[in-house]
Amino acid sequence: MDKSEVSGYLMQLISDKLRLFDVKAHEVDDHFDLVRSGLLDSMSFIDLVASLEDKFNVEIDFEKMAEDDAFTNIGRLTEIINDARNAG
Amino acid sequence: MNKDPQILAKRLLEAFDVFAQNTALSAGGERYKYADLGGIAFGISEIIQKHNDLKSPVAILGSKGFHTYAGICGSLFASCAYMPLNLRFPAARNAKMLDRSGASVIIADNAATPMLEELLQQVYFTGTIILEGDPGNWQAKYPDIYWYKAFPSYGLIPEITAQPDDTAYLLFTSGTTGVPKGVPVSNRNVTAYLDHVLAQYNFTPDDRFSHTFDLTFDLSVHDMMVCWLSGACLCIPFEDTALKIAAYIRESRISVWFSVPSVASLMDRMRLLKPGTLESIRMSFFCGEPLPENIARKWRSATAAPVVNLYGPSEATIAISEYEAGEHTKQKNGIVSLGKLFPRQEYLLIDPETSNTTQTKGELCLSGSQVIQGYLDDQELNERFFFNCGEQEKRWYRTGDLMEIDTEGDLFFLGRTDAEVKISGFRVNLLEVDALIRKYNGAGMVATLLDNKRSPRLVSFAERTGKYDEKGLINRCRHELPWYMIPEVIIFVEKMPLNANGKIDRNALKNIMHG
Repeated sequence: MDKSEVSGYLMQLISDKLRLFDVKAHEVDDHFDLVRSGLLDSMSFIDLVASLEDKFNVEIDFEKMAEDDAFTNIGRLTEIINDARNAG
Repeated sequence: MNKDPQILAKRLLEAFDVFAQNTALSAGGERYKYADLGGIAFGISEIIQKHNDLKSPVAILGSKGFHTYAGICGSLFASCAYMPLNLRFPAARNAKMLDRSGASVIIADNAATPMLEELLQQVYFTGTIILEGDPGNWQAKYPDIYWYKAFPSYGLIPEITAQPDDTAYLLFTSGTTGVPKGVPVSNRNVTAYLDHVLAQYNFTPDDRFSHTFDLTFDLSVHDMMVCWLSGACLCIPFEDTALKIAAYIRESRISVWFSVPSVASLMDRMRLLKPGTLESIRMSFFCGEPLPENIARKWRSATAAPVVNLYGPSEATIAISEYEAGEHTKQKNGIVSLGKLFPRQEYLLIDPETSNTTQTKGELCLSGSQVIQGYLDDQELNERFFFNCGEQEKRWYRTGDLMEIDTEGDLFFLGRTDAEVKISGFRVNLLEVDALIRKYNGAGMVATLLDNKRSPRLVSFAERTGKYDEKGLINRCRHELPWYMIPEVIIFVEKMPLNANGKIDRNALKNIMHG
């Protein structure tokens, strides 16, 4: 399945945060790091992943996910969710 | 005489001597021996002693690295208190703390460079600054400051002159008005805590201690001092540790764990608390916020080791009561009991309205060798939160925590008497958030609520004045408040809903929040 559905939903979930943090649309590319940028703390990052899990009916292996140094990037997170969706 | 069990620096000095060849610190892939930490700390203490006749506190500005810990030990060896700042706080907050503390020495590592620059623009500082790196350009830019580089000057063993009532560390906590409350913890206070914990639990030089707390959080004092007085190794987490906590525990082979329960809850949400998965841990401590019984149970099964729930405000030094969660854990509303006070510490329960003593339910008041004498230079606060009574006019501290005690003498947390809430263990007085928003929003009423529906977050309500929009107000908060005090959203209302008594109707606001 196409990952644009995942990234679209992800952007919807963080849109309020992006607005309040005054992040410009062009700054938010695949390399944008949701946690290192200060946009989300670890708790809200897990909230976000949980919302994505619910929406796309997948279960993420967090331990494996955290081995990937870039897993808090928008692009990488989208891929991880989409891969799980296609595997399931 | 460099021996006196009531002086923290003397206890450390002894441990550094006995355990000289052990590893004191494991940070960023490097290991540092007690002899190295001590040597550099002595060097730093020599510089401090040369420039700090008044023994004012020494500000610590840095990441969790070797230079920072050498700075903390160096301050204590110089018979001074240390006062931690926080690189994740806005500069304005650090500036307030620096100013209130009266510190005349700052110890800063390389990671602190941008913050130091901002700080020196906000405060007029003319003392001494001890850097990890070369003072190079700093010297020319700020010629009124004495600049030093700490490395690699090993110093001589210092003569420690601190007295039991002298402050060992100074912390700041959220107040009601926007001025952080200074909590000076004396050598007597902190060594009383250490005496109990070291005697009660069996730590060895083979132990590997976790270090999850920021240095501005007093539970970090437990990590450092319990570890070093035991000759064990303090394991510094790598970056992003909250999301990579399982890897940190495994790779660092942590044997003694200490964190806020939120960290365990986070791991549970990541489905990482499976039986036997955290097998290197042989003892766990939780403190700082209520410990849910199901989290204690899952943690116990993941570690197959004892779990101890600690409780205590910073004003009573790190923790003052303990409860070991076992097979039949006492709980109320799903929250583990706080257990019994440490021996030789005393408590009273009072009616928060009348201040009369009560039997089984009331506001907890504390007295004993762990309880501080009062806040830093604030008579009004001291009259509100401290009182003298009983035999020998003992000094008592009012915690603001409502407690219930069962027939076996175990304590249970019921709630607060005031507007203080906990976010991942951090104390947040909601009135301080309100005060800041009011400062910029103008005349309108403001009320901040804790929303616990998912991960805890602050939601502020403000009457629309048109001065700032939501983004503008949040931006002001970001410039002046620590990250955990910043509201996630600000909702504007035309008129604040009031109840029959004319007070802000918080239930109506909750309905708006969840509606």
